[in-house]
Amino acid sequence: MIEQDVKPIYEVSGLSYSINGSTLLHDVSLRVGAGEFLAIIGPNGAGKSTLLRHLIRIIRPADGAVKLFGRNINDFKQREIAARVGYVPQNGPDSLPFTAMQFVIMGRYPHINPLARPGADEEERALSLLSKVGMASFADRQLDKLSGGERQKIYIAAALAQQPDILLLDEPTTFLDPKHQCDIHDTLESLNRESNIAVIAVSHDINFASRFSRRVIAMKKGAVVFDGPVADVLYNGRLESLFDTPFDFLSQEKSGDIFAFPRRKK
Amino acid sequence: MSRRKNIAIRYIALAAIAAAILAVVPFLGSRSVSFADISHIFSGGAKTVGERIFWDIRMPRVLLAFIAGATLSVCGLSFQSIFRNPLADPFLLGVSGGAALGAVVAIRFGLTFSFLGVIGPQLFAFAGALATIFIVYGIAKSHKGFTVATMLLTGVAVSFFFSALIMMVQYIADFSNSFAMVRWMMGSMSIVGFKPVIQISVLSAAGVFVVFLKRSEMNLMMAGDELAAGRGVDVEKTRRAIFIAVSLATGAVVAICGPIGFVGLIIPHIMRIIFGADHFDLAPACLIGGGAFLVLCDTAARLVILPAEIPVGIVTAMLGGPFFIWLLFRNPN
Repeated sequence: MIEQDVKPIYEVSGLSYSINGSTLLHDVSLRVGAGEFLAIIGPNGAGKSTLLRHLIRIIRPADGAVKLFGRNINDFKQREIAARVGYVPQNGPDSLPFTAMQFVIMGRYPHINPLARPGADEEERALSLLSKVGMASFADRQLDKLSGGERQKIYIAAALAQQPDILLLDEPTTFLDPKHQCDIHDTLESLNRESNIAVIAVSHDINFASRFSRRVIAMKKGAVVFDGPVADVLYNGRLESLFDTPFDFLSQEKSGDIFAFPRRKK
Repeated sequence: MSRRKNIAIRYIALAAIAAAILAVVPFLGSRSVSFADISHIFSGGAKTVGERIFWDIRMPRVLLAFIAGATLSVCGLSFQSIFRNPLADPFLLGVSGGAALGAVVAIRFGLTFSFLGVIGPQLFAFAGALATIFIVYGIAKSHKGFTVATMLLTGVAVSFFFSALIMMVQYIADFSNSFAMVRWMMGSMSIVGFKPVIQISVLSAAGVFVVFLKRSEMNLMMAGDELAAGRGVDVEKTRRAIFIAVSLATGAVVAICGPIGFVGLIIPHIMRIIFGADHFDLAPACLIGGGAFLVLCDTAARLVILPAEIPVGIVTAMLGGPFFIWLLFRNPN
């Protein structure tokens, strides 16, 4: 039991992946421990999403290894992975004919008998998850008819229905308006602090990474180019070489938070 | 909750309509059968002509139509769910054509053995259906950027190819055989006795049963393969199970009734509108609705040009063609 506790959630070693002759991941190694809040940043096409997909075995690791709780991820059943890792994909499907309640209950798949219709207790659980993300009043609404931000919150509630030890999110706040961005950031932070759920969020928003995560992994062209505390990534040399564009920085007096902005060319 | 109650009411209405159809339809036909005719059986004595028509012809036929319709409808639903497209119907994807080719080959070469209620042509139809699914899906998947449109077009091409092969088998068959095959290719429910009903039931039930086992998985796959995998669904395994189940069930139906189209397109669509997207509600609704629908279509086929009848496949195609076009324009993707 104790040994289990000290085992990291993820141990990735020497993971490479290429398809159709282009290398999407190159020799990626990293460890993620319980309760961490980790942001993976990097420009488009850096391999961030590809890495995430390996972590829940949407892509089966072939070159290199991914260990989940000390065990090779290829030895898991898909359901066993889902029982420990919650996943929020980048773009949900364009048409989803379910209500918020139905969709959250569907997230219970790894824990309930898939042959039986989920019972009333699952409805109660789903409702409490929806209220956790502030969406309880949307329980009977059709997902197709909601805004991107509202839907994203419901996706998070559905991933929480998996009762995960760790939550993987792919660009959770891209394209959302500021209010929904804030709400989602707060939700993730409280899940991490209060429920001790580890978070890995892929983002190209450096300021999201700097404000919420304690650790940043930067990727470029399929490789990890930086892995360390947030403060160490927030200077111009590092960010410029990562994104191929210079940055300016601003610090907020009260909190000491530092914000980075791409510098205009003219 | 109120939603549940709502669904329950709709179920009762659907079941009542289906029951009413099943109760009334066997009495209709070129020779009317009265209730006195069939109640005679309980009092004993010799069978009347009406009684014979009712028990040996009408009842088996209605049951056959119900089982075939229910099966085709559930098969259509499962394909539409795992491919996330309302146009993905086994008939349109060439699966029925593959099954028909298998059945025709078995009949032509006299492989009409029977084993545990399953007949040779059904097994060949199953093989033809399964091969078609893997061919169509394989071709569409290897095409850069898999889309259901690619798959439908592949299905159309494969269908043409198969119907050419079927025509060839028919052409080299003798005249009376050839006529029987042509008639069967148009979809036929004219049977005598309950034997074909048992034959269609065994494999159809097996296929439908497997689809029913995958209701949770189909729910999740409607949200996309990636999300389904993230929730713990073994997507490839589920897809394979559905492929085999649909092939079994389609093969069972096609070998007996011929390739009847569009039931699997029309009924799941209507049921989705009424019952929503949850397969725990939707799958049983498609079963009942598909069965009742094909019974109605077959009754129409029996009645429109009395005292003759037309093949039921013509009725479903005449309804299904316009419906398909309507669906196509409703879903621009």
